[in-house]
Order: sequence, then structure tokens, then C-alpha cells
Amino acid sequence: MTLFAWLDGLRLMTDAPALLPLPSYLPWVLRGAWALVMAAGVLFLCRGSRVRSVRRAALPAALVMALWTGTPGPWGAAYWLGLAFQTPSLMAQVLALRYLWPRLRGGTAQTLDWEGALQARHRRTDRFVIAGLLLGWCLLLDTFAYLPVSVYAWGFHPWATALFLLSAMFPWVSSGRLSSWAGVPAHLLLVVAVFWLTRWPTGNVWDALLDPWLFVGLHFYAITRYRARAGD
Amino acid sequence: MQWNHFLLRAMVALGLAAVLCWGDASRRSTPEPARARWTPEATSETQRTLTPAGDARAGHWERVGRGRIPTPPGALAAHASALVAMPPDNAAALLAFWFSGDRESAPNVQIAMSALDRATGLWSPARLVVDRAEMGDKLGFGIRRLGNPVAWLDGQGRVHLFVVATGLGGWAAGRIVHLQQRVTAATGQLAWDPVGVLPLSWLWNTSYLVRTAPLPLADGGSVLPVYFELARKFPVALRLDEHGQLRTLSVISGAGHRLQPALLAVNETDWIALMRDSGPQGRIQWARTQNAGTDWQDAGALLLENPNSSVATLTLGQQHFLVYNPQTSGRNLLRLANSSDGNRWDTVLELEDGAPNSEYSYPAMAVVQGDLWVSYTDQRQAIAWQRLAWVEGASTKHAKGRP
Repeated sequence: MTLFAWLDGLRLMTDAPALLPLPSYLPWVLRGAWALVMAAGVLFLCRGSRVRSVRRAALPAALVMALWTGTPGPWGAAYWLGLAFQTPSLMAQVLALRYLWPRLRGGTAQTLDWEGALQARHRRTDRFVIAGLLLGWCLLLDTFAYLPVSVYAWGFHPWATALFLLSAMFPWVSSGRLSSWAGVPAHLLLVVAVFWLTRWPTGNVWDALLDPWLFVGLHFYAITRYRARAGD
Repeated sequence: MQWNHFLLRAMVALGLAAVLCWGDASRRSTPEPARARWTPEATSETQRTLTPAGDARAGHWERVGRGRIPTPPGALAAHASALVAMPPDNAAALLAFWFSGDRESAPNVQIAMSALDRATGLWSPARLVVDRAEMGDKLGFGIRRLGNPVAWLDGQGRVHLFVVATGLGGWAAGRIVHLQQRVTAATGQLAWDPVGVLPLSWLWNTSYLVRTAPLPLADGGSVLPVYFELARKFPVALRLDEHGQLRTLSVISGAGHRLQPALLAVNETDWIALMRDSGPQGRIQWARTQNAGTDWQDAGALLLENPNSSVATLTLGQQHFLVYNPQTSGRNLLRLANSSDGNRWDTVLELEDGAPNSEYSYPAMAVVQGDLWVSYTDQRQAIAWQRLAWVEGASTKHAKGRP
């Protein structure tokens, strides 16, 4: 197969018919997704505060934020967040849930994998972050039609979902260790599974994996990691 | 079972991916190759117009009526009309949609509608049919402003509306909301259910807008021309199935200064997009596909001038029609032209020739029983209409044929 034929095949992937989510659920998905992400954000900020009373109020504040965000109509924050940013990606929701869940069960920050990964310079996470950054930049360039093919349209194709399943399984395939599922591969697998079943949030796998705010967050993570490594 | 064998693990992963792919593909029907609804044979509607464009001996188009569509009470502004011809058994011959309010981008702008009664030939009083607050409640998120509506009649005879709804920002933060006629609603009292926002871009689905009429397909679906306009302006073609569901999308041109594509079918698979030019050339831009939208090629600029303003196209028999502002600045002239190939255009009629500061813009076209209906923005205050009929013999009043 020549390079041109291969590129032509990539271009024709945009011909895959879109499979979209059921519209009746989408307002609930939007509210639930933003409630989860905003609660995690408030909890993260409050727990990082130097003021003791703020740290103590972290959990109730997160709960209030979730309730306010999830309120239907213009009185709820999701109504306005959706106006500007539509729905957060499934990956952002999974990360938010991963952050919230142990704390709701009374866990401590020191024992958590997510913060552990951040601090322990987990190489596998780094590789996924680099892949996420590359994907985000491709999608951003594609948004402005700077690429010769429509990358966003590939996200409707079944192959794109299968590719992410393979990406999630790659650490296990290459190492054979069950522990290699921990962290991003497990999150990725969950995202692929939920997307495959529901097509949330838009029917396009890119929107399920990476939203622009998560893309911004990956840059912060990458910079933090780079500075930490440079300081070693 | 030796799970620590690399090949076995790789086969498991590939097997799961194949199952996922198969399961995913089996849930969606593979669309037939796109074919435009195109009838070169004579029908009751097209037999009068089968002569090639420019044959002045056969007949000519003549204006047989004009007026303004009623505006909603209290509305100060009207813009961006869309027309949809209804089936012959419907009491309404035409439906017109436009946005109406205090001014463009005003908070109280809503989508208005009027129906042309088939029996009386009169437009009904305008009714507001899409309200942004109500639509926001149904979609679950806020809508800042409403804009251009586009209407389409699907394979089941159900009307779909595609409306620009802005998010955080102006028109460049627009999204396309898809609404469809409620099945139980009578045509006289159209009611709408939001289907959702068309997923077209990764960047919060921002900056896709709609303006021009869809190209009907033989399978009952259509190709909806849309455009992106944040920093760069480029046109995109969306294929919709017979239920109005998004199937595929393809970029028509990545040039960066072309928008509001209006589609024409030269035949089933050979299509043309005529586009508004926001660049320095000031001419109508065009692109062509010869494989029903799989590949589009930029074809540069036509000789027709364009003051960065929307155009409308329509195909009837072997004739293509174009309504545009034939000038590089200002929108006070509005012209109807026709062509047999989509490349060389002849003036049919000057629809409007106003004072330099007047505006006649954003046209739409439809055919009802062989007559051509044109609607357009009149001074940003109302939607005007004109009806043109094919009259046998040479014209004595208007320019006709190639200049």
C-alpha cells in the first residue's frame, strides 16, 4: 500500500455514519457531568487551602457545589457552564470521580493513586499525557481546518473507539502485569466502555476522551512534571 | 493458560477491539452512496423550464407578484429568511422562517414563521415558533442569542429546523441546534422538539453556523451546508439521513475566507457550492465535487461580484438559479441569474435596485407549482417576497440571455 493510498484510506474514514446519543438523556448527562467535575474542583481547591477552616469545609462545599450545579434550569450552574463549554468529557468525569470517591469514603490524600501518580512521576501516566497533548493539538488544528483530513470526523468511526481500547490495553499487553491496569489505562477502559454503550456526550469519541479544559490541564501537568524533573 | 505470553495477550486485545468494532458498526446502518435528487426528465413542475438557460426564444421569467411577509407584532427587525416548499396535499404551499426581534443579536430575537396559504395565496400572520429560553430549558443549557434558521422537509414529510444558537460570545460562538416538527402537530400549529446540537467541532462545538438551504438527496436525506467562522471561515457539507440524523461531514474548502455555501446539483453526483467571499476579491467563490461530496475541489472565484453577502441557489429542471448582490460593496442591488452549468451566469431579472444605503440581502428560494419564489431581507425591517413565473416567448421588459 502506497503512502497516498494509506492517506486516502484515512480520509475515507470520515465517511463512517455517525451514531449519536439519545437526546432525551443529554440534559441529565450535562448536569450530572458538570456537578461531578465542579465538586471535584471545589474539593481540590479547598483541600489545597492554607486556611484550616476552608480545608475543613471542603467536603460540604463540594456537596453544595454539586447540588447547585445539578439544579435544572437557569438557577443551576450547569445551565451556564453548558452555554459556554457544553459537556465535559467522560475522561474528565472519570478523573473527577476518581478524585472524589476515596475522599467521600473518608480516605486520605496520602494514599490516593491520582495524587501519588502526580508526585511519583509515573512514567505510564506521562506517556498517556504526551499522547493526550498530541491528540489535543491535532484536534485544535483540525478545528480551524489546518489539516488536510478531518480528524474530528474520524471520532465517529468505530475504528477510533477500537484504537482507544487497544491503547488502554497496551500496557498490559506489553508487560503482562495486572498492575499495569492501574491509573490511566483503567480510566481509559472505563471511558471507552461508557462511550461504547451510551455515545455520551456527543457520539464522537474525541469528545468523550478529551475536552479543551482537560487539554489545558494536561499542559499544566506536563509543565509541573517537567519542572519537577528539571529540579531533580 | 499462559497469560504471560505476549502473543496471546496481543490476540486477546485485538479480538476485543474487533468485537467492539463489529458491535459498533452493527448498530448503525451503512448509508447508500449520496445521490442528489435530480430529475432531468420533464415533470409537471419542470417541463416549462427544461430549455437550457439563456434560450430567450423559448420564454422568460417574469415577476407576477411581490410584497412583504407579515411581521410579528412589535418586531422592529427581521433578517435571514428561509423557505421550504410543502407537499401538494398540504394546505400551506410555502413556509417562511426568519429571525425577528428588536435588532440582530438582540436578547428578544426569536424565530418567526409564516405560511403561504395554497388556496388564497396569502401569507398567514407571523408566529414566533422558537424561543431561546424555552429551547435552553429543553436542551439543558443556556442560549445567548438566536440567529439564522434553515428549514428542510425530510423523507417522511416532517419539517426540520436548523437554527444558529450562540454560546459565550457573538456569532463566532454559534452552534447549530436541530429541531424537528412534533409528529402530532398539525401544520397550521407547528410545534418543535429540539433534537440537539449538531456535533461538529471539538472546541466546545463552537463557531458552526447555518444559513443556506439543504441539497435534497434521492434517499430522502439531504446535504446541509454549514460554515465555521471563528478566525478562519470555511464551509462544510453535512450529510443527513432521511430522518435528519447526521451521517457524515466533509470540509468543502479550507481557504479561510469562504462561508455560507449554497449547493447546486449539476447531476446526481456532480455538485457545486457557491460561497460568500469574506476576502479581498469581492467575488462569489465556488468549489466542486464530482463524487457526491466525498472530495471537494476549490474552483476559485466566479466573475460574479459579491459584497461579503449571502447568496441563494436552486435547481429547476436543467436550469440553475442564483440570487445575489451584484456589487463589491453595499447590498442595495439584488439580482436573479440563471445558468446551465453553474459556472457562466446570465442575468434574469433585477429583483431590487435601491438607494445606496438600502439593504436587500440574505435571499432564499423555493419552487411552488413551477413558479419561483424568492424571499429576502428588506432594510432589516421585514422579509420581502417576489413570485416569478415562466412566460412563453421573449421578454419585452427585462434583460434576458447572455450579456
